[in-house]
Amino acid sequence: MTTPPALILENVRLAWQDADAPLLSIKAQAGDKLLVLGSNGCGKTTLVETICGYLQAVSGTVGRSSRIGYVAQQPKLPTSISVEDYFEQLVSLCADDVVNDPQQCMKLFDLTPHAKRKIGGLSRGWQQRINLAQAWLGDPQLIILDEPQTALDPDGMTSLRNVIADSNACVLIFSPPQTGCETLVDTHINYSELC
Amino acid sequence: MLNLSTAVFRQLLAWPILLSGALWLTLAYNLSFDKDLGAASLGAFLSYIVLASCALILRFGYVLQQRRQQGWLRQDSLRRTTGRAVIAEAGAAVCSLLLLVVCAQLIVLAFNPAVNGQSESHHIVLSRVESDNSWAFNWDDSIPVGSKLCLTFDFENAPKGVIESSIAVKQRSAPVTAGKIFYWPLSADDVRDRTITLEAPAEHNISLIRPIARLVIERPPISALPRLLLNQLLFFFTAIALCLFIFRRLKVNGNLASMGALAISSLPNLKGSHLLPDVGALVACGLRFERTALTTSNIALFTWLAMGAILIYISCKNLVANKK
Repeated sequence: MTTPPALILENVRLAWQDADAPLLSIKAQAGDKLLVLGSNGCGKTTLVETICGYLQAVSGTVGRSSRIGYVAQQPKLPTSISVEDYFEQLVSLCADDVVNDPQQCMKLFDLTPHAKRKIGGLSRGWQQRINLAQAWLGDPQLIILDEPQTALDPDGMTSLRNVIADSNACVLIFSPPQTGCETLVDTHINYSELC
Repeated sequence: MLNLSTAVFRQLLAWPILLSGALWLTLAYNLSFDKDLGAASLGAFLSYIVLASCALILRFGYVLQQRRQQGWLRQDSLRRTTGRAVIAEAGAAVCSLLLLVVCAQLIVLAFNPAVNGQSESHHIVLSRVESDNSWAFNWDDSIPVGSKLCLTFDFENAPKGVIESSIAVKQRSAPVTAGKIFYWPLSADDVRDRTITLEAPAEHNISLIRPIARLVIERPPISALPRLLLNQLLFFFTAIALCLFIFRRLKVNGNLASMGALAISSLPNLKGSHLLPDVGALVACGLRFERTALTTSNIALFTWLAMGAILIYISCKNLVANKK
């Protein structure tokens, strides 16, 4: 029995695209690690938000795993609660039938020493680590990272590289060229190749 | 779920809000029951509690908006457990209202204030002459069954020797004597219709001394306060549900959603409005309280609560993606 793909996009037209614009297609299996490179404004974030279900595709088919992790380009975090509380609340949002270990997720990006600190009191770099760690909560089968290198120091990038390498999930990274994301995974494609 | 609900509850009732609430309750108590400042009326006290509940709903809308900005909505929709988050939010809001009404009850229990000693309140009702021997009276609010219409008849033009007559309403009638105040106890039908037409025998030629009557309505005693406060809680349950529905399904800013929810919830209080169940009496306060408190019918109440439950259920459904 073949496992269904973690992500399948067939002839998708994004919300902002003209009627004559080329349609997007992509297929990725569990364990695939892919970096999609595209310049500013080419539609990476719109595509990511369409995959996550935040935006509707105008046409085409979007199929994806039900368990998905997402790292937004601009992290939206509750600043008034502690890192530990944040992960505890996220666990409450996850379905009960999946593995949820907030301590393990915090360890992935060395957040454990900061567990008791309020998120608002942490630097932008540490907030980005929280933003990354939450994507691995709930045993996701598909992880989408939108410009994950933002505000990360070299240690953070190393952690991210290791976490991606160890993950069994399908990991898709979206980034502009030459931001350092090229070092995270081996397979790179241009956004235009999706058309 | 409890974890989520507690988090929203703590966000909703942060320390400054709790402190403001305590101050407001103290002020409400003093302004309502202090013998120099207040009206010694439960209606006045309830009006301050209604204001606090409205402020709490506005605060709830603000917190919902804050949670949207903190990314909880996106997390919720991504992890596909939407129902859990909505129920936690509704639960936290209901619990915060429950805390308010419990504290309001406790403050009254602790200090046992003196309220207006008269067990009945009196309200003026104007008559409309239907014919020479019949008079109609209308009132706007729902009032308790058993309230009495009180009026005096003039026998000056009656035939000589006639000092007694009878007043009829539909099938019922009661004797009326010259110079004595006439009381007509209102039946369930009269109360439901909000109008009554009194008819005297034409041959007696009697008339009203003044074209007005008094409605004599029994005041709810202080022992009814728990039920009155519970009524407020039930009323605001649907307001909370409405706020969640507007916020989640119509994707409106949380602050606007709470204002919209309060505005829509106030519709049952509008005269002649039949858009929503007649549950305005659940939040009756001030002078209106003495006329309408505890008059909400069970059907209207359950319809109102069912509307709230349905709105929460719809809000629990997974969100449809935006169109850019």
